Parts: sequence; C-alpha cells; structure tokens
Amino acid sequence: MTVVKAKAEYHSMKSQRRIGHALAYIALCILAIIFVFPIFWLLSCSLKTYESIFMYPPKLIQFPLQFINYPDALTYETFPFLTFILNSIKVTLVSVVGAVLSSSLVGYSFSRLKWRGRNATFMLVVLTMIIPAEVVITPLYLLYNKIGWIDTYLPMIVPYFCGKAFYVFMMRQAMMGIPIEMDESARMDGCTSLQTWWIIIMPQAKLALIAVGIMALQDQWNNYLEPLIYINSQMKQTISVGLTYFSGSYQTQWHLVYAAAVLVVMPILILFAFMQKYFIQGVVVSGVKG
Amino acid sequence: MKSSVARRSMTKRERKELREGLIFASPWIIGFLCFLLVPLVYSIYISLTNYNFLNTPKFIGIANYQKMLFKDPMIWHSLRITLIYALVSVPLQMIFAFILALLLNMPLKGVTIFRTIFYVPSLVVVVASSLLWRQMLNTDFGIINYILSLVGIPKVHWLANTGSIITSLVIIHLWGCGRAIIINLSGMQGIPTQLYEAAEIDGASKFRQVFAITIPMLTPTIFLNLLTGMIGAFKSFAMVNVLTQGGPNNASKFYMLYLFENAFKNYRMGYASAMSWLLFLIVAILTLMIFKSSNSWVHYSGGVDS
Repeated sequence: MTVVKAKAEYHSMKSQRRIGHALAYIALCILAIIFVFPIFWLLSCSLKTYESIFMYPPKLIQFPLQFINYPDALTYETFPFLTFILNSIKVTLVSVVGAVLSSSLVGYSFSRLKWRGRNATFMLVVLTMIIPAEVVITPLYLLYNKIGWIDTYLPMIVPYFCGKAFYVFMMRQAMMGIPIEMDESARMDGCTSLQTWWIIIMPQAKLALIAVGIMALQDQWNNYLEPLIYINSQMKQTISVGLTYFSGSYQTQWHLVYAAAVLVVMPILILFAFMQKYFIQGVVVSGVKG
Repeated sequence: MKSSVARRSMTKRERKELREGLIFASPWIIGFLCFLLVPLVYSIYISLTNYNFLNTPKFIGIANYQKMLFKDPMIWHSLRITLIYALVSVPLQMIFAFILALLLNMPLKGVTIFRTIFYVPSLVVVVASSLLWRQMLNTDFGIINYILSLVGIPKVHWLANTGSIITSLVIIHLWGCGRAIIINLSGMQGIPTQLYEAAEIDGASKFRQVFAITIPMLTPTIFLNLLTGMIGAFKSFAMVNVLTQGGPNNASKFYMLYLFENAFKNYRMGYASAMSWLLFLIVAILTLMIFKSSNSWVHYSGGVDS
C-alpha cells in the first residue's frame, strides 16, 4: 500500500518536474526571441535601401539584400568611417597591452610580495573602484589642457597603463590562487621578483590575463565620453563618437549608419564566439564577494 | 634600546621589501595620484572659482554651491529624473536578471545556447545599440509601435516625455542585462548542492527552495549587483545622450548630461566641478547606506570561498 503511494507520489513529482521544465522552455524561447530580435533588426536594416528603412509597415527582410551598404559606409565621403575604425583599433590595442601589463604587475605586488601597508593600500584600490571616474572629468580636462594632451589619445590610453583598479582587483584575486610554493622554489633558484613575475606567475595567470585583456578591449572599444571630450579633430575620432557623427548629420544615411553599426559590433561578437570562456570568466570574477 | 635594534635590523629587510612592493605597485599608485587624487583636490579649488576656460580663475567662495543648491532648478530636475531612473531600473534589472539566471540554471537541454543568447546583447557597443533602439522606438515607422499596433495598442510616443523616455531606457537596460545574469548564474553555481538535497528530503517545493536557499545564499552577489547598478545608473550618459541628447525640452536631461553641458558646452568649469562634488557626495551616501544595510541582509557563509 505504502509502496504504491510512494510510487504514485514519485510519478506525480516526475510529471510535475516535466511540466516545470516545459514551462521553463517556453519562457526561455519567448524571451530569447525578444532578446535576439533587435540584433536581427540591426542586421536586417543594414541590408536595406534608404527608402525601405522608413517603410510602414516595416518589412522584416527586404530583398534584394543591399550588401553594397557595407563598402558604401566604409567609403562614405562626409565622414571617414574607415579612419574612425582604424583609430579605435589603434587606441584599443595599445590600451589592452597597457591594462594587461600594468594590472599584472600591480596584482603581483598585492598578492605575492609582502610589504608594510600592502593590505591597507589594497583597501584603497577597492575603495577607488566605487568612485565614479566621471567625478573628475572636469579637473582632468583642465589638467590635460595644461600639459597639451587635448586632441591626443593620451588621456584615453595612459590610465590603462596605470593599472585600473578593477583590473588590479581581478589580477590580485587570480594570483592569490596560484600555489605559493611555485615562487618559493623560483626564489630558491635565485630568481628576482621581476623574473618570478615573468617566468612563474604570468603563465600561471594566463586565464585572468586574457580576461582582463578582453575587458579592457570591451571598455575601450565602447568608450564614448572620453573621446567625445578629449578629441577635437574629426580625423582623430574613434568609432563610438564617429557613429554619432554619421547619424547626427543633416541628411542621415540611415542604411549606412546601420551597416557601420554592424561593422562596429562585429569584432566583439566574433571575438566572443572564439573566446566565450574568457568573457564569462571576467564577469564571474567581478561577481566575487568584495 | 633592544627594540630599536630589533626594529632597525627588521627595517633593512623590510625596507627592501617595501621598496620592491612599491615599485611593482607603482603603476597603480602613480595612476591613483595623477588621475584621481590630484584632480579631486584640484576640483575642490576650481569649484570655488568662476573659471570659464577663458578668464583667469577668480575665487568666489561657495557661490557655485549656493547657486547649485538654491538657484538652479535644473539641478533638481536632473537629479530627480536620474534618481527615478535608478530606483526603477536597478531593482527591475536585478529581479529580471535573477529570474533569468534561475531559468538558465535549470538542468535543461541546450541551456548553454540560451545563456549565449541572453549574454550577446550586452556585447553590443552602447552607441550602436542606442542608435538601433532610437529607430526601433520611432513613433511613426518604428517596429515596436508596429508590433504593438498588431495587438491593437495605439502609437506610443516613446521618446517624447520623461516618463516614456525612462521606460524606454529601462527596457533597453533590461535587454542588455547579460552581465548581471552571468554574475547571478555564477553565484548560483557556487551554492552547495547538499542544501537543495536536504530541502528536497524535507519536502520543500522548488518555489520554497528559491526563497529559503537560493536568495539567502546569493545575497553577496545581489549586494554587489545593487552597488554597481546604483553607481552605474547615476553615471548614465552615453545611451541617453545618443538617444535623446537630453531632450525634448530637457525631459531626459540626466545629471551627467547636465554636468557635461555645463563643463564642455558652456565651459562653466567651476560650476561643473561643484556638480561633480554633489554627484560624489550622493554616490558616497548611497554606497554607505547600502553597505550599512548589508549587515542585516547580506549573508556570508563562512568558508565556501573568500
């Protein structure tokens, strides 16, 4: 009797679970469609003619597909979009190198070297993570103006070489997890701190280095406020601000704006396709309890 | 005497260690001094002057602060809409990201594909996504109004007034909540499975388990999301600026937009610096409040990881 009852209960539990899973699937599918739709729409608009973008009712896909929009966007006369992209690539790559190098050096100091005041200084690093960088844009602008950094990339790049607090935090957390015996034996073999950092710690912290690199890449590629403030010459502008030039002009060529937007988004998406793990890694570490 | 000898003999090694530690940490220390501390102090000075980029700064005491607090209604307007936006968007995003993470944490087939799908929008460059949404939200030919019209909802003027603009921003913000989802998800996967097994044996329903186990165990993550979300909401700039440029008629003039306008369009550097300090103060108070409250609701389980 009790066995039958238990069995029935088990079966009802199982069917309940199945219903639960089905509901979860349905919810996920609906939400997934909603989430994907804007990206699909961006692609679709980038392949339309100027007129069909403003058609009402809007068409999901307009044939024939206007692949010509892409070369057109790159060679658009009024705004040198290709130059914007190249500028962004330049600034971003240099920033990534700076972020990886500086944050690993500083992270090494905060995780492997013992010095008086280390932990208090690290608390300061954590504290500065909470201060919005926007608080100092006005004085920074004035200071940069005094030393002639306006209309150069230095205000955007140099901070990346100075170990941004969040990247330092990430590197330190990652390096804390490397067994201390590794650098002890390196020391025994007569390695200096610098050698230990380069030979022992850097290879061990590879995952975190890539994660920091990707975050720096995303941050700088996305950077909008700083180029908007610091860059005056159009030829020096980066893509985030460049895109808004495109869309803010008198007769906006919207089909080209969308093609350009796709070109801006694509590098990150392609990189994500190859390095999913590292993207997620960065986010996961940032979720570590403070 | 003895102790001083001991101290000196220690200092020698210690000093070497200290020097080395500081050398390795020097990039951050230099950055901290040059890009944060000096500008912060400098901005106190500027905020007490009438500097407008052309004149030599003249000391005017606390006049900027007085004007800001008592004579400039735009400050309060911009603070109000920024605060409303923060109060609506942050909790909504946290709840939404939590529920999605719950779903994505279920042992479903193909769940990794869903995880990717929900993460991808957060990768879209902010300016590109703002331009895209600006077109999708267009009153006359936007796809969103078209879809709504299919189910009989009349045209919505999405970017016409403060309320509808904040609604639009919240929607866009929800769409880009991939990071928050992944943070929640990783937090959930750190919860020991024994807890759920024990609850299962006690006959607790899945629904009850969420409230009895998942949420309490996830409070450190929720705390972090709350903190970064709040600060992020107060710094909102790029998306609003591309979407509406603060308009129409200042309806979406968020605090950072007004600050930017003062500093880099009107070159009222003194006034903008005073505004920066107000922003700093508000963020500091909010952070302190969240930290203080965390004692009573954030649950740190000892030893799981630190």
